[in-house]
Amino acid sequence: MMRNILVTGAAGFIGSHLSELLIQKGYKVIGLDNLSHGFLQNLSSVLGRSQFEFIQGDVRDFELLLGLVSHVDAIVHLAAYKIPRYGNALETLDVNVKGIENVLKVSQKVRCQVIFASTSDVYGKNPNLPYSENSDFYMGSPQIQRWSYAISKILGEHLCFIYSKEHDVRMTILRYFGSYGPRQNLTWWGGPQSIFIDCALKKKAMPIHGDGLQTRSFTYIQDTIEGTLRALEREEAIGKVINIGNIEEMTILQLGKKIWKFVRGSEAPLIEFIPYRQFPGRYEDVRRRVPDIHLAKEILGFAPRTSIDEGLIPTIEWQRSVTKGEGRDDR
Amino acid sequence: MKTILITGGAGFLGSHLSRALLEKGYRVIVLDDLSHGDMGNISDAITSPQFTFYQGDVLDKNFLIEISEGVNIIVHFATYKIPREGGFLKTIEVNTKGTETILEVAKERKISVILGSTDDVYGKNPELPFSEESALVIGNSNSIRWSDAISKMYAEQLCFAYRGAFQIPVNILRFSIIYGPKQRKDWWGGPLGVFIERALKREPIPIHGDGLQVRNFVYVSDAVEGILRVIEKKEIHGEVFNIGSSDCIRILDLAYQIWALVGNPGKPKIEFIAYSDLCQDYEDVRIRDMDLTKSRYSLNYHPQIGIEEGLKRTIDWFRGSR
Repeated sequence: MMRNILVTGAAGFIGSHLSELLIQKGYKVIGLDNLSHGFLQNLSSVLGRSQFEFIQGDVRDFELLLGLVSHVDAIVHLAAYKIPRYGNALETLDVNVKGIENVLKVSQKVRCQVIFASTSDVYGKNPNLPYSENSDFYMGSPQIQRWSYAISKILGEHLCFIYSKEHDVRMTILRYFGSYGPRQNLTWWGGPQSIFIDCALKKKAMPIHGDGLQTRSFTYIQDTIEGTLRALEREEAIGKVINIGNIEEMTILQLGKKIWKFVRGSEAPLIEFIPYRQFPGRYEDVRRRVPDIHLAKEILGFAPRTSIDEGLIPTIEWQRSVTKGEGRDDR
Repeated sequence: MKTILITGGAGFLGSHLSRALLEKGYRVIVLDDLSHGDMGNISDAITSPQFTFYQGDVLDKNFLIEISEGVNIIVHFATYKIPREGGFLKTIEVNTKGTETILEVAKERKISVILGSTDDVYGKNPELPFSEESALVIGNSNSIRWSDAISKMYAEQLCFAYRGAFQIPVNILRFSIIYGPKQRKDWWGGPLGVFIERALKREPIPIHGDGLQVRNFVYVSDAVEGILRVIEKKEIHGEVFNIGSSDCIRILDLAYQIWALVGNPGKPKIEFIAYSDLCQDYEDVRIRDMDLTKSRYSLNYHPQIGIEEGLKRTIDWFRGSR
């Protein structure tokens, strides 16, 4: 029976929810986070409990990581940097590749299982929808830094497969499709819904990139972590890539209007369209993004259950409470 | 006069570039670990007082810092390209960490960087020909034959990330298949060297898949000319250029053409090798061709040597070096 799990990026949005779920299910959890984007307060319900240990540190620190895993049965590697929308791409490229590389190296040494959190962004601008796990990856020019995120994750996936083939590391790759929910990051890092809720609460115009007709599918956090837990527990998931996402597709504009309605009722929504050319450097958006989730159903017996309407309500409530209270200094 | 450091400079392309740069009066420093390069390639250059050779590893940052004093441009060619032969982890390591090391050195010493990349990054994009703006389309990660392409895509991103963060002037050159004298005679040098070797021995020619895949071939002196133009146009940085030719050829036809140019009678016997024998989940790309519009207009790059002339020169060299 698997008992001890190391969660990297534990103080982040997904990491903190997963840590709670694991403890609830009787696991012992070591949570690693350098707190560059995570928050200790995300872990307030598990901090101090005997089954949980928090370590502040960087996943790029090999010796530290090795020291943590001597009794660990599995590592869920969530620590990552995302699309560098306004910042520079260097940290994204560095953290995302060196992180998984270290995780794989230590897992080879102590023979523990690895769950690697990848992203729907790897499918890039592939025009053929929906995306199954075998769909091709369509990346753009290196002059566009948004692709540094997907490319770093694809390279991470390759490292997983190579360690699996050459060193028998037992690994599973999960491609998450846009998670949202309480504790999501309050900047673009957390996704558009986070920004829209903030604007609606403050009665500011919601910034919409491009024409807002690009679509996404949003997955409620409870669904994301349930899929992750199942991948951790099912032997059949070893060696597989599995999409974890909601198939409910909506445009960014629809999302913004829905959020506005939930927060402000019948008041006309305030929207500010931001052309891509106003982004620093060149930017390229992806028009549609929908997962094919047959494999998750087959292997994990899992499909997301929470509709966007059901998920947005607790998310808005949480964000209202943070905005009113002490708040968080999200970066 | 300017000093150019070429990593992988004892390799095929690097050695030709060295000679061209020396002829133009540049100082040249070559770094090579000689894992795939060969001292024979630079035997003529090494007699020049303007030329220095160091045997060393491109991952050895301190050594690179030491030898790059006074260097104006690093041309980074040290790379692994066939993971099925070199080891997958090694390919990724050399291609990603090698580039990172070069960029770190460039940052500390304030040097420009030219990264040698490949048309392999366009992957299986079905829209032809590939321009620098084309999507980079690769198959799924469980087919690790793409690990070379993804490691190159990562290296390209890293160049622009360093440019963004530290204002390092970078340019990326995506080469099609380069061939010519001094090229390797095994698969590392592409199908052409293997074909010539076999044709000269009048032996059957091995072809991967059905031989109907199409590739773009560029003669080495043309590729070198492309690199020189980037080196000499100081105002150009932050750009990606395709460096190839207008010669787009089916692999099977290439085998026939080489067989005939060597002077063998009739047609060669072809030994077809199934992809499944090469690598698990191997996925080939059917057609690969380059749009050279940008290089033509921005670099005034016009490849001169057509495939027949190029093949003749290459075959002559193979004959002379046996």
